[in-house]
Amino acid sequence: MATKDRKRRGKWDTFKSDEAQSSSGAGGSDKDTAAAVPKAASHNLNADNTSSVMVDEFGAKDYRKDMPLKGDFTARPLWVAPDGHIFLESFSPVYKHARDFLIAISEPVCRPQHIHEYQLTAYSLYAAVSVGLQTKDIIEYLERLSKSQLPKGVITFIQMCTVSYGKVKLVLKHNRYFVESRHSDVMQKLLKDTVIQSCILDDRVQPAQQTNEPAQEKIKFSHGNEKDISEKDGGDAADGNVPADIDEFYGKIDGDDEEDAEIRNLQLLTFEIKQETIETVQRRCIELEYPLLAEYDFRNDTMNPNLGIDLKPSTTLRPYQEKSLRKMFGNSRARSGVIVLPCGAGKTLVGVTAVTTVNKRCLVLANSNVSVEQWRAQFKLWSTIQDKQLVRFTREAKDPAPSGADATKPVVCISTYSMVAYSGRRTLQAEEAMKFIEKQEWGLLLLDEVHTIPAKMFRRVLTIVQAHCKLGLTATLVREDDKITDLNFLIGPKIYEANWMELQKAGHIAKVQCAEVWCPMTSAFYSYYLRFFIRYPLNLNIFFRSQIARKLLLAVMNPNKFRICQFLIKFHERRNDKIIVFSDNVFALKRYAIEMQKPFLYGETSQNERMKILQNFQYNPRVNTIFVSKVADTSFDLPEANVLIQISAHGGSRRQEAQRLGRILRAKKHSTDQFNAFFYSLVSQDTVEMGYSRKRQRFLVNQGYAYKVVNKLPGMESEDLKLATKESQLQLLSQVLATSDADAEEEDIKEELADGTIRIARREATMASMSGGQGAQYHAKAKAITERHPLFKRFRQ
Amino acid sequence: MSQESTSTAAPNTTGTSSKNSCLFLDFLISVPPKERQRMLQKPSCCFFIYRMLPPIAQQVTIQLIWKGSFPKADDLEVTKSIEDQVKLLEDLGIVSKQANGKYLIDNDYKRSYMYAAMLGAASISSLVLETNDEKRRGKEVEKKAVERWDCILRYLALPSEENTQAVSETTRNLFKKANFTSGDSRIEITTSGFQFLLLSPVKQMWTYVIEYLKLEMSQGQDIVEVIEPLIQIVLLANRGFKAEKECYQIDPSWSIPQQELLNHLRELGVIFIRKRKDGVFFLTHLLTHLATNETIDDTSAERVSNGKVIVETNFRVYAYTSSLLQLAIIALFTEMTYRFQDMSVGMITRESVRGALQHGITAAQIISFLRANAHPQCIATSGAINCLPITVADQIRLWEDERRRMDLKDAYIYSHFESEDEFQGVCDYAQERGILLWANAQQKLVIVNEEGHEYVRQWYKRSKGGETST
Amino acid sequence: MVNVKKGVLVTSDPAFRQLLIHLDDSRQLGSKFIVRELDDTHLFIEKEIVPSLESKVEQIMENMNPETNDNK
Repeated sequence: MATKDRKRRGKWDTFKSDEAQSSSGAGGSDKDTAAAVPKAASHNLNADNTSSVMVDEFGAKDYRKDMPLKGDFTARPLWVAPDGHIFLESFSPVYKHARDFLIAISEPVCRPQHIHEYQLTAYSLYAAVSVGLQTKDIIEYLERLSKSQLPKGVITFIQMCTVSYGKVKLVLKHNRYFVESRHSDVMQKLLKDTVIQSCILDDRVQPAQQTNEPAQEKIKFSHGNEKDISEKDGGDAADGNVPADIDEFYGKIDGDDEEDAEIRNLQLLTFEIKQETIETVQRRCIELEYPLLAEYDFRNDTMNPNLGIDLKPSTTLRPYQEKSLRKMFGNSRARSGVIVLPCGAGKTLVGVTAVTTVNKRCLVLANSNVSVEQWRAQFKLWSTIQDKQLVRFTREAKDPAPSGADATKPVVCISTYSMVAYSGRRTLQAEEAMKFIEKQEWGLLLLDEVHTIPAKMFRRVLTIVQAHCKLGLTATLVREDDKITDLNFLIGPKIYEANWMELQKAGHIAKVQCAEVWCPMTSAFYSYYLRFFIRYPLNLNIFFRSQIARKLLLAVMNPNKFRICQFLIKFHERRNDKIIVFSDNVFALKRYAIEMQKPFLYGETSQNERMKILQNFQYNPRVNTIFVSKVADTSFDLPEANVLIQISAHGGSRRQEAQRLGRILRAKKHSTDQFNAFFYSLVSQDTVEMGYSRKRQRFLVNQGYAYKVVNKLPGMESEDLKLATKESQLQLLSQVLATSDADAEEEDIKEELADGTIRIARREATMASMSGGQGAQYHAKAKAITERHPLFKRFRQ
Repeated sequence: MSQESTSTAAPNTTGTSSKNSCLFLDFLISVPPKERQRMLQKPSCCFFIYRMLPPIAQQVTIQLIWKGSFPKADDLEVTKSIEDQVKLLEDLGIVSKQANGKYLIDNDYKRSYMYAAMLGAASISSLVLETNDEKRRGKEVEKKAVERWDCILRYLALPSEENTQAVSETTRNLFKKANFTSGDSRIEITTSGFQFLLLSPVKQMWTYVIEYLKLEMSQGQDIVEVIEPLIQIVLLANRGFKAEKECYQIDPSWSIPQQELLNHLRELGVIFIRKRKDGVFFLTHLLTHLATNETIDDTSAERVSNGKVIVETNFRVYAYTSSLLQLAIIALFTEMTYRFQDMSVGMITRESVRGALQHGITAAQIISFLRANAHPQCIATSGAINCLPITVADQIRLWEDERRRMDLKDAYIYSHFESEDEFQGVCDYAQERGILLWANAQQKLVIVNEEGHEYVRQWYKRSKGGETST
Repeated sequence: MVNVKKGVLVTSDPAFRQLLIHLDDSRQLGSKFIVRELDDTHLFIEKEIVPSLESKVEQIMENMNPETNDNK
């Protein structure tokens, strides 16, 4: 089995390089990153073990010796491998006991139907500690859930990663900043550090005035029956098959994580630090491997006035929304961190509830103007907030920054990342608004779609905005640049991550049938496709880039793909479905949309038109299909849509795929066992699209989605579709070949500039090239393009 | 839209072309008529043959025995299937067609069958029941039986030194003759061998037994002498579970080939002999595999509930087994990643499946193996077909299809015909003879298969006096 | 006078056929090998090229279907 050996080595190699990457990320070149991430975080459990791992005759890691089974192993749901991988039987009666615990201490790798895989990482353990779990409880409970004894390496790893985390907190109380801990050894260590010494306000360490801490009243989110929900959710603990030791521990793990009695009895030590040195202290503590947990004791913050808003009585939270918030506010303070919920699962409501709970000034950052509007609407929908308490700050809708007497009144301000991070010149009005944002002491900074923001922009935002607590919201903690680890320390650990399939089963999100539709290339298109370079050369210069762009364009414009797309649209329109078609390539987007007479929307579409198109799509029964570019990937809420067709996508981005699926995930009215939403990814066969497509699907496949490969669509022959003749196909080919290089490339995501100016110079040039050069027949059509959205105008009458 | 075909194509047995999907009947057809007739004279053989017949053939024989004829069906389809079954019975020498078009049942068969039917299955056996003796039975007979059988399969899957010594020379010889292994000093499994491993236990065991009988026959052994005790033992399985507690005398008068057969059944694990000097043998549960009518077998509920394998929609495979053999089979088409004591983890990848396909294993075989061995949990949630996620089954087939993107056929192309008539002549002739692969009247081209060239040459000779340039 | 040539008839889908034509045009196998382009789904090619053609095709399919099942 020589091939097997080779394979193995290959895997090992990639594994090593992964590791090298992560350690260089943490300790090496990039100074900025290095400073913000503690060294312990780069520990890798695999690294300590793999050198001595036995490999069995089939090439698998052989852990039989390391993991002797317990007598009652069938009653326990986990295998915990020495390399930190955990396998969970979802059909075990103890499943529920294990699920929430694993989500708290480890990263989910995949969660399909029967067996779920998790992985212990330094970050995940950091997150566990920061939501209040103790080292010994983590080890103890994991041991009880496991079918075998815990491997020694795993125990050591958990200890190593958790021992220094979560021991020290940065707390803002009565508007003074305190570092506090119950671990005197750690405090001693910090106090001996000269950097920290220089930041101490009063150089005496005092035992905290414990008597001052009132018995904390439990935080309630929704009106009414929280108890019922948690009980229902907590599951049937009385199940006879659950080993007693697991059941007994479960309450402890799942309950609100008040600190351990043992630890609570220790004296709470605190020292106060100078406000201007917070960042220095935070940084220094990370270097000392004791990252500060930022907690905001908002109830005791008397300096910042309350917003005085609440959820409306009619607003109810779903169990998982409630659970995620319980993790955030577990010890009656607000923790910073990230909550991960699938698109359409109601992230906004979680955000709104967090705001009403903290009830202080709040800054919400979203990544588009449309999204800002939608946040505003959601605030009004769910909470008792007044109009005057909502301030929008975008390039198109600039509410005046509160001034005069209003300047000190608390508000919820909603803006975009690019607006805040913009470093160029601003208009006078924008300048004032920025001053307002900079001046405020925000109780909560709400960060929407955190994973989409470039790390650099992120850091900038965080230096501008002073906030006591940061809450990140996202659907996918995947980034193709692997910068996700930075988020852990820039915002805080992952607080909660929902399971897609479980939400789907419970009817909270739509049940989606995913399909990868194979569209055979026509001979003519494929012939030209093959003439451009097949493989990526190492030096990706302009020439090669344009070659690749051309190949992609030919694949997207494949007449068979067009016809299949048209067929699917007709099919679903007949079923009264609402269809969104995604294309990253603008040329294809326009060409498809115009040919099929559907409205389309892309980067250049003005805010006004965008809103109108979206409204028509939502309310006009004659507008059932819209074509959109990647500007619609995130943040547009399209609650009506239930069919998504993707004709061109951005390379192999797993996140984009998940994001797009999210466009149709909002639970549909007719929730049955049947699929009620459809996601089609149209892929030209024998082109690079195939490989990309598989790569893109990986995230969703690991969430339990299954893509059905469709290579035959019955009924297509009898449908009247365009591009039926060879002549029309060849004509299209000549048009595709005549496009400019710029058209062939996919749309650049243009940042919405803070000033409200938007540069479209480049696009104008390409528009010209599109209408020039081509034959007369096409010219007529090109004319229609220059006039924006002619189809849309027709619908408006 | 679906790739899924409604019927799961049962893997074709290798070695014998199994047109009746019953190896035993196929073998019987291949036995010389004289020997077969001798078998028909034995009540136990007749009774067993009857048991192995497909249901319709059983009815036909019953009708012929008791009524002397069988009714015609109105339905065309039923008529067709009756005809097929009658043909099978003819092949087996059980019925023959008279000059008047009537069917007649073989007299020997009729007599033997009636005799057996009267006495009952177990009683026609001449084997002698002994008083049970727990001591001679020994402990864990069932477990040992399964281990025996596993040894044989393991030898095939992983022919290591150790595994080689665990099987008899006859078994090694048998696998070699059956073309399941190749090589003399270093044994290697062949394509057929791989396919054998993916078969159901019933098919596997019958394949082994038939290959054994073939081997005996090829060595000039009187086949009836061996087959009769075999059938008698197999028929004992019908006594149900009770049979497994009973022990039978090994008749000292048995011939050497008969003793040999007993040894092999012992190696297969279908009977248990503690020590040869005990002079008795016990039956094991595995014997039921041989007693099962193959035509009805395959998705039998019994096997299904023993399944060990979970396949997820993300192509991960979790095998709840510590059996080296099962893992070896799964590893044929799976990239294994973790090995725990009670479970192994792997992944079905394009590369791993292609590896299997290159060994001659088919997508259908992999799919049916995974379905047949699905974990009860998968069957409970998704049923007997979807226990293997459709997307995974589809993908395995697509990987197979990918290898068939081009079909290559050795051929001859004819061009530059002198006339329309000549073109048409060659074209028509090739069509007639079934050698035409492709032709086009505009381009005036004809392509025939490899064998076809000779025919076309002859056609030219005949029609023109034959001048062709090659 | 009629001409006969021994070779191999290739049957494939149109896109795949196009790939073979591309290999032929670009002489990626060292030489031209297509004897006749018959129709949308058929080619007639030289017999000698078959082994190297098969391995080339294998390689191309490999590139087109990168393994994406890696653990990540």
